This record gives sequence, structure tokens and C-alpha cells, in this order.
Amino acid sequence: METSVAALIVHAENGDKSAADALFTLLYTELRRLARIQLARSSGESTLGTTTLLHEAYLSMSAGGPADFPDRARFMAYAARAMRGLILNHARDRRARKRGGDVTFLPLDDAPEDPALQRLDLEQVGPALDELAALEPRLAQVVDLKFFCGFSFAEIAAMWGVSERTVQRDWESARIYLHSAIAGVTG
Amino acid sequence: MSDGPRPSFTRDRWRRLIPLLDQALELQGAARLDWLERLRAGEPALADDVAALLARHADLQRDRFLDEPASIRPAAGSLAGLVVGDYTLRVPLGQGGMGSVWLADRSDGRFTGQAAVKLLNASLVGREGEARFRREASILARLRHPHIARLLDAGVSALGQPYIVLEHVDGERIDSACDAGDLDLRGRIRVFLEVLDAVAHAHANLIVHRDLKPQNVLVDREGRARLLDFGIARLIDASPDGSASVTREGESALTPEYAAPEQVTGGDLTTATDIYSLGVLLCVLLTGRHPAGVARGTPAEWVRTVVDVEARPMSHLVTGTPRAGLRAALRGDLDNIVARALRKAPHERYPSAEAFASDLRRHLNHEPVSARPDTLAYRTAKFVRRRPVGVAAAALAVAGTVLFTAGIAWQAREARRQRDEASLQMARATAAREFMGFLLSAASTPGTKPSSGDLLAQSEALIDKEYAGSEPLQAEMLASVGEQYIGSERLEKAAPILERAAAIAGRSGDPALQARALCPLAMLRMMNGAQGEANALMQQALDGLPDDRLHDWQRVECLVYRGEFGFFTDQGEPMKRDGTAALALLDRIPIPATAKRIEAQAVVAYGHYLVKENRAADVLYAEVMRGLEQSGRDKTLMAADTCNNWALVHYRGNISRAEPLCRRSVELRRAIEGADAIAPSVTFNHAGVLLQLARYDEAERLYQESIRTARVRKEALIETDAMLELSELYMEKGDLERAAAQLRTLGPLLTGPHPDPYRKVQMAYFQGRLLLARGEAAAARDQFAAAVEVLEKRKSQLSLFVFALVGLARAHLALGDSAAAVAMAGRAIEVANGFVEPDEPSYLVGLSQAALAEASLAAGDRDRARAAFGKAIEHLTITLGEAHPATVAARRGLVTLGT
Repeated sequence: METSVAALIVHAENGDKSAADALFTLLYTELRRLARIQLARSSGESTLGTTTLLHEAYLSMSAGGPADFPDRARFMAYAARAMRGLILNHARDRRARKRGGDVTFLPLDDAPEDPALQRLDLEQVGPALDELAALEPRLAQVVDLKFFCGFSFAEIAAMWGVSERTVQRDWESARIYLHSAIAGVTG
Repeated sequence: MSDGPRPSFTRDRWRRLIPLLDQALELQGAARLDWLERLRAGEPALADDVAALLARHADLQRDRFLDEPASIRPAAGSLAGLVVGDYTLRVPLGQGGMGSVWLADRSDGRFTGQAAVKLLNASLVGREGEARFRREASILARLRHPHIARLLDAGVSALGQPYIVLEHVDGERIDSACDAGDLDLRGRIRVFLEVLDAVAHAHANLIVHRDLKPQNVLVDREGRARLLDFGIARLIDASPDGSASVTREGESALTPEYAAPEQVTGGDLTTATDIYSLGVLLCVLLTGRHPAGVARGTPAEWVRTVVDVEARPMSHLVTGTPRAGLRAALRGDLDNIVARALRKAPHERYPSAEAFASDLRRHLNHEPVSARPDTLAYRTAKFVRRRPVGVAAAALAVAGTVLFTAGIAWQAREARRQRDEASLQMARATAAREFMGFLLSAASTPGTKPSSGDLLAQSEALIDKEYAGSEPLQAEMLASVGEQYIGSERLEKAAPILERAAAIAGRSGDPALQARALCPLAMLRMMNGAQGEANALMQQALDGLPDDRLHDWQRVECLVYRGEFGFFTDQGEPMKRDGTAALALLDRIPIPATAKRIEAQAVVAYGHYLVKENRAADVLYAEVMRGLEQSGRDKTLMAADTCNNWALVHYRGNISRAEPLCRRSVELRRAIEGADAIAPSVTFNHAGVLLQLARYDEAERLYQESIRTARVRKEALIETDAMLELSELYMEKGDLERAAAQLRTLGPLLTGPHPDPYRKVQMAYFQGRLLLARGEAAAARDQFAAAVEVLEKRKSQLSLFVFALVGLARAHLALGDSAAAVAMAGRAIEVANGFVEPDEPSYLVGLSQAALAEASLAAGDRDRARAAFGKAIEHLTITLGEAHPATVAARRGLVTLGT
């Protein structure tokens, strides 16, 4: 099986669902691996630098890869989607544990939940974003990159080769969509 | 935010709203209001919706909705001092994929001592989940072996955290320990043998490790190997709702270096999975390098390496002059042993840890080892692909179904050699089952070595017991067991099991699963002679499969099965069609499917042969052989059978090309099965070719051997064939007395209530030859004529047909009836030409032309005789060689005719 990221991206872009799934799994596991390493390195720090993780993933996966390894923008689009999965899973695990006895991503701890996620219905965010991606992929991507990966508008604009304003408008549209689509968002 | 009713727009509505929203957001204040008004003039409802969304925008901005990026928040606190069960955590020992490990003190006051407490990343759902966890842990706790660290306790903490308590091993990773102790090769192998001993013990208790790596294999202060974490991976997996899946993903990402291909591709994890990891471990211990060479790559590269790349012999990893001694020591046995453990296909690896260990022990004792380069049974080499040149083919063409089924039984018997299949089956069942039930059953009585039949029967029982809750798995496993029964000739056992699989699969509504069960069932029907039913089942399976990529693989499997029908029906066109279709599908399936591709090619090649496209068959067989070589399968039974069938292509034409192929088939089998024990059909085939080439001494030896082994194996069909042809050999050598005696012993074949029609034809021909040689031409003519009559009626495709016609022509000639002789020789040429493509050289054509030349000469037609001799020489020189008596005779004939 041709399992290089480069090849999987090509297949995924040609509409191959299984390649898209394989790509997701590959990126997910790699991000997770890097996350663990980073966590081990930086015990005591309160958050994990998601942007750094993505950059590391790009470096590690493109190293020794074929000359036609996809450009940063294409890679990041898929990696950001995987990062979303990682963060949502992690947050879900934590909540499950709070409800009584469950998975430990890390040793048991009392650290408060990420306030950015606290008010979100985690079960709905993923599906809503998938729905949005079906409507307008760019809008879902901007959420993945900005909210889940911490990229700035300027960085995203540079990546996509568009103006910062365009990115900002996409972001606002996406926020409006999500706010409407996610039940249980409380003020 | 406002608590107004939430607008819930349809997807189509959103599709219209999003671009409008984009325009609105571009504008501010009054400009935006103006824009909205203009919109309202044309599309009032849309304008309302956009306005509502803009109001929402104001709200969410105030709320700072999604303003802060999300993050992963690691924990800060330490667990030291935490009491878990009877233990108090002291010092963290490590953090692994499965959880964190702590050195802990026993704290219940009654005993003192230290243990390792592992806090598992596992989710247990409800009381039932907890009970199951404890139950399975208690099974693991019973696993006691000097080289396995014991599981002392397991439970769930007050906080709901599942944990296990393991005997604490104060030791060092096996690889570092071997390096630190400066152990030589033999020392390292001895330590590794302790590991194998431990693994064998666990496997005997049906516990698979699934995560063997140096980190889990320690060497303690006494220098003993100690294995950690046996069965723990399984324990975590046991969470019934799959909620531990995140943990599993993390795990496989952490140690891909030791993962077997089936772990990477999501296949069944069995004892064979451990064998693979042990192979990697041994390679690392002996060479210091991973079998794939390069130290570390990205996970993506590892996945590719594990799944796709055949490892080179381990000794290649050792480079440089200072290590030349090590390189030499690894070459040969140790290379082969590690290679066998590292086979991509689980069933090609050592069937057990004991087998692995005994090879290593033999190596230490300087005895020959069982692992030889690629000599492993090739699973799919079964059915009539083993059809011997001239035997089953002849039987099919002449005698019809009676012999046909006998031939099949013989074929199936061949497959029994692949006993590992049953072990594989067992291993599969082991991995997929819960180990509880089986431990309690009688089947695991230690100290007994069950036969493959026992194992299959046990697999069956296991399926019923263990997969009661999952019908799809049950159907899948039943289908596999059914296939094994087919392979081991127990067709009567295969039937009920495949029928059950089909019934269960039918209920599942999953077309892939249905096809999984129906296609082998169809094959079984075909083997039982129920052609109509076979076709109907196959059609049902294929019609049910949706035409999409998800079902490509199953379609390929079915198409190859259906293609193989041609081995039974002798219909070449469908074989070509199905094989080609399977190949086309394989091209778009993104997994390596070398074996399946080769199978499909072999089907197409045989199809070409059947429709007499000998050249195409020849080219494709060459490609099949290349494929086998490139995938390291060129020393397998599949390769032997490919040579055998390839020889068939040339058997009725350029027979000199069949000889090296038959020879190779024989040699391969001698290497695989032992020098004296190879299937009699293979030596028989080679002997037949040598007989035609007038290499009588070699042929005689091989006939004798094939008679001997056929007798031992009670394969009467081949024994008789070999004895008949041996009598022909005596005739060719001029020993008529011996030939006659040989034929007399075969007389009883023709008595009895239902003498076999094929045997009658054969006997008539050989009697005719003998009579003709003795000068009794009239009697000879009658025998030949009787044989020809039957063969004509059956439109026979046998070389015997040509021989009988040539014999008849010569008998006529001896009786002075040159016109009849010319006619018969002409017919012989016609039949012989029908076996080959136009312009293809053929020894049968050559022999017929020589007969025509002699008959023409007798009839006074010298021009025709000259032309016929010319053609005879042309064909015979290529196919039998210049020095062959027939070639020499034809040349002499031409010379006496003058020019």
C-alpha cells in the first residue's frame, strides 16, 4: 500500500474515502505521538502548544519524504482536521472521567478543563464542523486552523495566499454557523 | 446572548445564506443596512434570515465565542503516595502507551514487598465492565512461568482507575543487557530461548502478548529473561464498547518497529503476531539493527516498511570488515530462521514458539534446521492447480467424472501437507476469543499434541462458543475453517460448516460477508461435481456485491474462485475473463496483493492453455514465475506447481521445453518435501517427458520412484499410469518380454463390473504397440482401431490420440494397406496440429509427418514423402533434438529418397 502522506493526500483529493480515512489516522497518531513527547518534556506547563505540534508533524513527516511532498498549506489542512479530532477526544475523555471512572490520557489530575472548550457540547462540535465542511470546506478549515490549532489570521492568510480580511470574514461566517448549529451553547 | 428561537436552516438554505453572509460581513454600519434593504426588496425571507444571523454575530462576539484557541491541558500533580488497592505508589517507573507505571510498596501491613503498579489507560463501562476486567485479570494471574513476571493483582481504584499489580522485576532491557554483558551469539541465542520458552507457555494457555519489544523483555540480576505485560494489551482491549480505541491508536503509534504487518493493517492478532515481534527482537539482539535497516523513520515510513518491504537476509545488516566474522556466522541458518519468523503472511511463519525454539536449538547443536529459504507451503496452491501433466488431464478428458473426483481427492491430499493451516486457524481463533472459556475446556489439555484434524474440530467448537455474540465474526471464522477443510480433502466436513457460514452471513445483510461464505461454498460444490449449483451460488455472491471499492477485495476473491472453476470444467474463456477482471480490480486496490495477483495470473495462464493460446500461456506463466521469484515465493509448492502446469503448455508441442520445467518442479519438491517423499505425480510427469525425449535411463528411474511412492501413498491412479508407461519404455528399449510381463500384471484393471473406459483405451494402445513389435500386425491394427474409435468419439485432447492414430497407420502399413496408412497419418497430423498454435513446433506433428512420409513412400508418392520427411525433420529437430532416434530416422528416410 502506498501509505506516504503525499500519496494519501493525492488519493484523498481524488475522492478516495479510504485514503482520506487512512490519512486521518496517520496524522492523528503522529500528532498524538508528538503530543506525548511534548508532554513528557514539559511537565508543569499548563498547555500544549498545538501550533508547535503541527509544525513538528510537518517536519517529521516531510523529512525523507518524496520531493513532491505536499506543500505546507495542503498538509496543514489535513493535519488540522486530525488535531481537531485529537483535542475533542482528549476533552471528551476528561469529561468522561469527571462523570465517574474512566480513561486517563495522563495520570489522574485535577487541572481544570480548558475554558475554551468548557462551554461547548463536544458531541456536537465535530458533526457540526463536518456538516460545515460539506457546505463550504474553507469555512470548516479556518475553524480547524484557528480554533483547534491556534494559527493567527495572518498565518492562515499567508498559507492560503489570500488577504487577511478574507480569512477573517470566513472565520466570522463559520462562527455564526457553528453558533447556530450547536445546541446548548450557553452564554 | 439572546434567547430567541434558534434558526435551524436546511443545508440548502445555508448554501444560499453563506455567500450573502460573506457580503454582509464585508460591510459596516449604514452600508450594511443599505445592503440589507436592497436584499429585502428582492428576497424578503432571505434578508430576514441574514439579519437574524448578523444579530447572532453580535451576540457571539460579545460572548467571545471560540475566541481562545483550544488546547490540550496536561496534568501537573504527582500520584506519589496514592494508595491503590494494597499498594502505595512511590516512584514513577515509566509512562507507556498503556498507562503509567509506578514502583509501589505493599501497604496492608501483613506483608512487605515491592511491586510495579500499572495505571491503565482503559475505560471500563459499568459494573459489568469491571467484573469482566477482574475476571480476565484473574486468568492472567494464573499464568506462572519462571520467565514471566507474574500478575499479582488487578482492580479498579476508588477513583475508577483500573490498575494491575505486577511482580517488580529489577532488571535491564534485554538488548542493553546483552550488550552490557558482552554476550556472544550463542549467549544471546540462549537468553532468547528463555524468552521463547515463556512465550510458548503463554501461547499454550492461549494468551497472546501482542506487544513484545525489548522494553517488555528484561534480564534480571541473575541473568534470567523475564517477560512483562503478558496479555495486558488484550486486557485493555476487552472494554466492550470500544471506548479504549484512542489508547490503542496511541499504542500502535508508539512501537511500530515491533509491530507485525497484520497489526498495522488491522488484521487478526494471533500467536503468529508474537512470532513476528520475536523475529524482530532476535534480529535486533543478533545484529543490533532492526530488520528494516535504517534506525528510525516517521510512523508513515514504518507502516510502509512493515507492510510492503520484504526484509533482506539479516546478515546484510552487518557491514564493514571488523564485523565480517559476525556476518559469516549469521549467514545461512540464522538468516533463514529469522526470515521465517518475519514472513509477511502469518501462516508462513513458525507455527509455534516451540518450533522457533527447536530450530534455534538445532542450530546451536549444529544440526540441520527446518527453516529453509522460502520453502513454505503456499496456501493457495491447492485444487487442480496441482493437476499433473497428462494424468488428471487425461482422466478428465476421457473418463469423465468418476476419475475426475478421484483426481480431485488426490489434489486435495496434496494440500494436507499444509498442516500449518490448522494451527493458523487455531491461532486466529485464539486471538479473537476471550481466553476464559477455553482454558476451562478439555481441549487445552497440556502435554498432548493435537493433530490438524483435532485443531480444526476445536476451532469449530471454539467458534460456536466464543463468537456466539457476534454473528459476522462467526460467519467469517466458519468460512475460514470450511476453506481449511476443503484444503485438507475433508469435503464432507467442509459442507455443513460452509453452509452454516452462508446461513449466518445471509442474516447479516452484509453482501461482503455473504460472498465470503458463498464463494468457498460454490467451490466446494464444484469439487463435488455439482456444477449447476456451484454456478448459481457464485452468481448469487457476485450479484450481491455492490460495485464499489469497498467490495473490490471480496469481488477479487470470488472472481479468482470462479476462475478456478475452469480447472474443473476445462473451459478456458471464463478463466481468462475472471482472472483478467480480478487483475483489473487488484490494480485499483491500494494494498499489496502479490499473492492474489499471482493466483489470478495463474488462472488466466491456464485459461490461455485451455483455449490453445499456448504462446500467451507461455508468456504469462513466465510472468507468474517472475512474480513468485520477486516476492520470495520461488522455492514454494506454488512455484513447483506453476512449473508443472507450465510444462503442460509444452507437453503436446515443443516437449523439449517441458523438460526443464518438469525437472525444476521435481527439484523444488525434493527440496521442500524431502528427497524421497515427493508426490508421485511429479516424478511421473518428468518421466513421461524424458521417455518421449528417449532419455530412457533417467525416465526409468523416475517411473520406478513414482510407482514406489504411489504405492506408499495408495495413489492407485498414478501407480497404474506409471506402470503402463514403464511397459512402453521397455518396448522402446526393445525388451518386449519385460513389457509384456508388465502389461499382464495390469490385466485385472479391465475386469470387474465397470471397467474404466480410459483404462480400456490405454490398454488397447499398449497392446497394439506390443503386437506390432512382435509382427502381429492384424491384431495390432484391431487394438489401435478400438482405441481410435473411442478417442474420436470423445474428441480427445490427449497425445495418446495422436499416438493411437500413428500406431494404426503403421499397422496398416505393415499389412500393406498404404492408402489407409496415409489416411490415418493425415488424421494424426490434423489432431496434432489441433493441440498447438499455427507454426508452433510440435513433436506430435513431427511424428505424424514421419508416419505420413513412410506411408506415402509405400503408396509410391515420393514427392509427398519427401515433403513430409522435411516437415518431420523440422518439427522433430526443434522438439526432440537432432540426435533423437525419430529425428535420425526421418533424416535417413529423406536421404534414401534422394533429392
